Amino acid sequence: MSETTPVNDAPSRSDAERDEGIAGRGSEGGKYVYCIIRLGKPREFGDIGIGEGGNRVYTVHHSDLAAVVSDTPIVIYDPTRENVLAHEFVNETVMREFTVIPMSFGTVFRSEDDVSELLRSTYQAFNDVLDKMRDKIEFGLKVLWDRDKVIANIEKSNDEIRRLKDEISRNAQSSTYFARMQLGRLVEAAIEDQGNAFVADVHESLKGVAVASRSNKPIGDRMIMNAAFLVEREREKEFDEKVKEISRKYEELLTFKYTGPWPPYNFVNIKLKLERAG
Amino acid sequence: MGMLSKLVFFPVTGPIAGIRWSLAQVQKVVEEELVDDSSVKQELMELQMLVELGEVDDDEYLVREQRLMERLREVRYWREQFGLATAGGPVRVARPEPDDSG
Repeated sequence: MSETTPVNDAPSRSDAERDEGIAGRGSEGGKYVYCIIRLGKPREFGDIGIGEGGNRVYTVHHSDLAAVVSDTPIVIYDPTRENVLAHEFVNETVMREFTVIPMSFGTVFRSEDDVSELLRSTYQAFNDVLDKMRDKIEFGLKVLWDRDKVIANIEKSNDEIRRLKDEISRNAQSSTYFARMQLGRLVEAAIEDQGNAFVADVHESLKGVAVASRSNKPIGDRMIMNAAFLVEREREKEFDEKVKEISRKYEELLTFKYTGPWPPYNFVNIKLKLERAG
Repeated sequence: MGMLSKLVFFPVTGPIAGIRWSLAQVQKVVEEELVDDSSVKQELMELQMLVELGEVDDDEYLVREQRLMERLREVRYWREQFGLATAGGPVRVARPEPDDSG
């Protein structure tokens, strides 16, 4: 039995090209890249790719590295929730078995050759990062507060503010503009201190169970913390427990939005030298 | 001369270069706003936050998302017009300029 002869004898070329089974791998056309993993042999992850109908997700290789891709027309993907979720779903699926270097949303290459070239030219950096990120996962933690409750709390517990407030309400007529201004300033400063104290406490209680953390800019005016934590896979439970513990401690005042595991989006920093391909 | 005549005659008596300069400034500010997508991205993140918190329902989310996507496309269009880098779209590994010997 010859290994090189196709089983079904010489179909016409156009048929072969249309047949996914034969021409699917190595086919020309755009490739949407989700992530980079260490894997020496081809692998399929199912029809879960971005775009309508769920495109086949498979690997493109160079040496022991692989890019996880799906076929795509050459288009610009809007960061809609639907598209972003599709991108993330593929990465979550791959992450269950592999350490991944996530690509940023919407990265499209013109051809499989261009993807191989990415792996080849960035081989060393990908390898180093894969070693560093081995068996580590990311969690997101956003903390929002109820400002009114926090203010009420401050007014109860801060003697100076309470005294000033009492004074103003007792002498409603005669209380000066200055006294009111001073109260406002005191409250503002106390709120800021309180916010910083909350954030510091959350970081303090999690730093023992995380490898690293990163603070991002809070989103909107109710968020006081928007952080990402890099955690050893085997310490996931511990991290989880700590998050639950701290959110119970502050459940009256703060809302915790805890997400993950994610690929280490916030801890991989490879600047790819990419250019527009037409 | 009163204020009014100053205003009326300013374009004639004032330094032409000054006007050109200020027009260039205006142009620059306009261009910067046209090509800056950071506020759209910020709004998109806020919107996602609101839907996660259950304060915006799915239907409203989709309507607002659609509007933000249109704005992103506009920014992308202007960035292309001004020859600036855009996110998304096909990329490849940057190749060094071919040198004379090669």
